Amino acid sequence: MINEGFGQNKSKNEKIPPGQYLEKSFPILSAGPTVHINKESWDFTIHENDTIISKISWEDLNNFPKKEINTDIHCVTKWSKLETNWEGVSFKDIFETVPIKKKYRYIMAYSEGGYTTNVPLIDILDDKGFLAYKYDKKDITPEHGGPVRLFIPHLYFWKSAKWIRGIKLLENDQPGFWEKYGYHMYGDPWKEQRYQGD
Amino acid sequence: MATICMVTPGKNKDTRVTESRKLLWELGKVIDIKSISPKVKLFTIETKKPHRIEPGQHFDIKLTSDSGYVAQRSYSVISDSNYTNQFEFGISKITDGEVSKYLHEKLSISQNLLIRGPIGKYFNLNKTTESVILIAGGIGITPFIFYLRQKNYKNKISLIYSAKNQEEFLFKKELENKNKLYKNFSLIVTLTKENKETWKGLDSRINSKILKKTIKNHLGIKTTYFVCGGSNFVENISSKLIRVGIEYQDIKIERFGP
Repeated sequence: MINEGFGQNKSKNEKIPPGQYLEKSFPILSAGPTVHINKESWDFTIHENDTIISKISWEDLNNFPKKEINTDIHCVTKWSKLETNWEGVSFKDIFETVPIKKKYRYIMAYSEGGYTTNVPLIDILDDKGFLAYKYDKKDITPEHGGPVRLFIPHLYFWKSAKWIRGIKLLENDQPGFWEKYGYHMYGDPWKEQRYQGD
Repeated sequence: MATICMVTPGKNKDTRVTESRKLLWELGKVIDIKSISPKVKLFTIETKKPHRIEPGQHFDIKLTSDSGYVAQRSYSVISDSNYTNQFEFGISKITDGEVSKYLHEKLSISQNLLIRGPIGKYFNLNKTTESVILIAGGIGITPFIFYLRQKNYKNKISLIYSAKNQEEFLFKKELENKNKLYKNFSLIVTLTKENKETWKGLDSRINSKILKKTIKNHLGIKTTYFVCGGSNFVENISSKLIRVGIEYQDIKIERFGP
């Protein structure tokens, strides 16, 4: 259906997924108020059922190889931001120190404040998923999820959980916070997987 | 294919039939457009089939140009009813806002556009404690209007509303009438850019003093806090609420804008 008189002379930007628009600022989005966490008291836990198989402190995190990531980000609320610069640690490097059993195929990421989101394990391997602590060369501010946020730029940005505190390894996919409220289980911006059934 | 669970009303009031459906785009016909302030228009869009809606939910609107360019935006829904095929959207015209500009300037009554919804079950004002404190900035008032229209005011409800001036004090009459009618409803309005000669009410931005005074009136009553408005407004108010001692899990926020 064409809306006459809309978007004349507008052409598609190949870097912007369908239904998204270009945003120059960096909007803040979260389900609750901003969480403030001390770097020194922050840690990241990997759970296998009820067992903790790894705990990474802020100091440990800084001992992993640093990865600089230049990429576009896409928020389900329709904005996309191009050529953003991040720094963090790749899950690829973390999982070299923590072997993951083959039976696990999904993760449930959880944050300070109770937020959760589910992601297939394969989507954070091969330098596709990170624990990010710098945005635009500076420490990530609390509003944007600092000191450390999950960073999975190829999925809608609600998957890049702010104030990340750990992941639970899962054999089967389970819905996280927004997913339980009807948002898509996977969230590929290029397939416009915003809501369940998309 | 995943589905979304919807509750639809059964034949008698107490029976509800749960059915699953995929969230589809449907044709919406514009049946009314009203200017309610210099910046805000209220659009009424009618779909063929009715939907069950809750205050705080939104619909997506999709526009397509003849060159194939597509834009979508989410708008919070207002209605008099929880089950209807007519949906009102209070939409603020944003400078350089490609969608709001089209809706304000080009869209006319009886034209069609694609919409889908309702979406969002988290910022759902009906799934909460009976007593609430609502805090709105500007156009962020819209979900609260829908909520306030359904209430019987058996429990304490406070609304703190920050607007620029009298003209941008949206739904003024409706809110003032409710304030007169129900003793359990408190309306606290602050107009931050109004002429001091003609406006004798509050004129500061919502500060801890205003918040504390309202919180005091809810002392001993289990209360949930809903904050809605622009991103900075929401960030500011929710941080203040935390600072005056409100628990994180008692605050629900919805950011309008990008």
